[in-house]
Amino acid sequence: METLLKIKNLTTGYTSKFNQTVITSDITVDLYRGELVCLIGPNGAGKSTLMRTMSGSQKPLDGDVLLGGVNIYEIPPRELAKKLSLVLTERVNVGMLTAYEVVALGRYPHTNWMGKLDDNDHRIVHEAIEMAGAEDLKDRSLSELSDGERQKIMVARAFAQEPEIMILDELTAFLDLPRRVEIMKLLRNMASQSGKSILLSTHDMDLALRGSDRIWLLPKGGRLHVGSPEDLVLDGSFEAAFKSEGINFDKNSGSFNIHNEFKKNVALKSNGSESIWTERALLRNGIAIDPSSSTLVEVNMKSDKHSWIVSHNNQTNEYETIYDLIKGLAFIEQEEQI
Amino acid sequence: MTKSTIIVSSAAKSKTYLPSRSRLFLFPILVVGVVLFFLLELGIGSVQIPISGVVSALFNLEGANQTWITIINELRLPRTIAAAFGGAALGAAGLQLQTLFKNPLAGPWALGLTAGAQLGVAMVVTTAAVIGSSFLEKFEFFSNLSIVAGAMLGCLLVLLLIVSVSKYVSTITLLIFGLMLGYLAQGLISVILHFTNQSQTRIYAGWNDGSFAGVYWEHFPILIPMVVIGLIGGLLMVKPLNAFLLGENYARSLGMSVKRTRFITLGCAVLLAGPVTAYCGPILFLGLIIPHMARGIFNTSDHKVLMPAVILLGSIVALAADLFVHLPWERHFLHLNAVNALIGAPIVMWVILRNKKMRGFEI
Repeated sequence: METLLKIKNLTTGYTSKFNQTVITSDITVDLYRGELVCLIGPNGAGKSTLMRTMSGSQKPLDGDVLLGGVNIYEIPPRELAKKLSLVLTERVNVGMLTAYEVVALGRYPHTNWMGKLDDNDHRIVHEAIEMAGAEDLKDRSLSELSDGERQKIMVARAFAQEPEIMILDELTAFLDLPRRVEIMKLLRNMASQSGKSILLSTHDMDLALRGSDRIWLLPKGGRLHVGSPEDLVLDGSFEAAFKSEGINFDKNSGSFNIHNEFKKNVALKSNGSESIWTERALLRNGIAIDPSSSTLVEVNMKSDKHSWIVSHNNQTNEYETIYDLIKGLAFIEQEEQI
Repeated sequence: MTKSTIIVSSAAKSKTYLPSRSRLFLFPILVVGVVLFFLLELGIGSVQIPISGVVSALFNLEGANQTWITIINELRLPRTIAAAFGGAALGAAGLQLQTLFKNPLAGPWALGLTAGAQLGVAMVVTTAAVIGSSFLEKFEFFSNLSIVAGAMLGCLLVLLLIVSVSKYVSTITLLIFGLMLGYLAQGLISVILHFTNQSQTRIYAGWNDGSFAGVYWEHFPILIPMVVIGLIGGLLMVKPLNAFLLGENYARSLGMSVKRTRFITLGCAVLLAGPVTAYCGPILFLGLIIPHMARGIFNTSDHKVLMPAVILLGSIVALAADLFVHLPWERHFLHLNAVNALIGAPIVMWVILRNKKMRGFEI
């Protein structure tokens, strides 16, 4: 695998007149051609600072960021722009430019003093717009596009810059699920088809776990964990990174548990998707699953419709929905507390 | 690999797409407009001169009316040239400031640059009063230059202040800051003038009523080169200004040197607004409204189109406003800034009402 960006013993942070504030320290990691990497971690862990330092917008306190063997903040801005492009969190207001013209601004480092686009530039702009699936947006004014459409245009603009590396900061925030999945797909295609390497910081754990080739996991004050999403889940890095934030990560479901104090328990007898979703509802409401419990919840599978049967102290109740089941369980008094 | 070639071929088919070129046919109309208003300015006044007379007087053709030649050469031509260049300069400066500050209501006047220039001129006039105006009058070129220097210095100082403040405050707040700077300058001017004699005050008051009519031939060797340099600078900076539309951070990520662009563009704005204010006095509204008119007419924010557009449109609007001032009115004469306000204020109101962000102002 070809290394595009090499980060060596990097310490990021700020220097003021009197002191140094270290945000992250001693990071050594490479970015390879053609991979989509998600940078995740709790708020305040220093993701943005790391990304700014990686992209040459901020000087590191110590260590190196090497692009083609050269320190990134020693590369002239125009040369750097041909190798690395950014999508930032800030919302741009470009007045009366069309989406096409905004994407064409990506050609900035490649054009002459007037910014004149030749046929090749127009071809690349079209290609970028097509890649982003935004052909129907190109003639519209950027100011009248929705958040998701804007993000597509900004990604197309970063792509039209023809960089080797694209760094995207919280691209999927403010987007609904279908839009997030769409953008993620788009980025995967861009990375694998064009051989760029794409680094995306996100808060969307689920999407990062499913969509990225590698994850850079940055816990608060800790060291950077790098690996495939699955490796990081299995070796407990995920759990550890979010534990300090008071959040439980469940290895089995690959998701976070919202409730973690159990007040009751039940034995669950069911199978299939009913089993998974019943369990989720129980856990959310602070009811643990324990096969030795005195309360039994059984899913009664019928051909047309199923129901949930609760047996407790020789009493039996039947509920038609999970919602009713949870409400019913609330009235059950268990002697042994957990 | 095959997939990317497919993309390339289908994109190449539609490469004829030409953004923002749909209204370029308006440029010849603007050029004709400049020439037309230029000739009308020369012809219309208390003495009416037909266009043919204007042309023959201008080019000193045979049989040209000597009185007309005198009127045009001595009075109307300097004023007309000043209006044409002044309008272009203020329009271009306004566009540069609006893009640089990302503020639709920025302009030499709104940001207090004009007030800074006024203060500079007031200081020069006072200094002249103190060291004796006869000294300055003896060296006419020097006094000419000192007023320009005063105006530009005032302009520059205000601009530096605005630039340093703009990092910390929002769009509207910056305008209020500029407005306050203007009041501060006015207060200082009033105090300064208090210590000068009446004739000096009268000189200042005459200058302070902005007009293109106070410009004479001897001013052009300073005024025109500065404005031309500023305009050329503006035209050379269209690409970085376009990148600036995306905001400073994106512009930097595109390989633009933000510092250099800032420095050159603000330098140009001072070169444009300073000398014009020095010779014509404070001209209100033009710098603010001309960029909006250009955006409205050409329907784009692309500076490759807007920069030449504001230069031509600025000339036309300034010539038209000055023409209106110098129509043969029965009594009195109109003030240029009154006419500017009549065109300008409604446009500013329209900009505020149209812009969602500017309508609301939260505290």
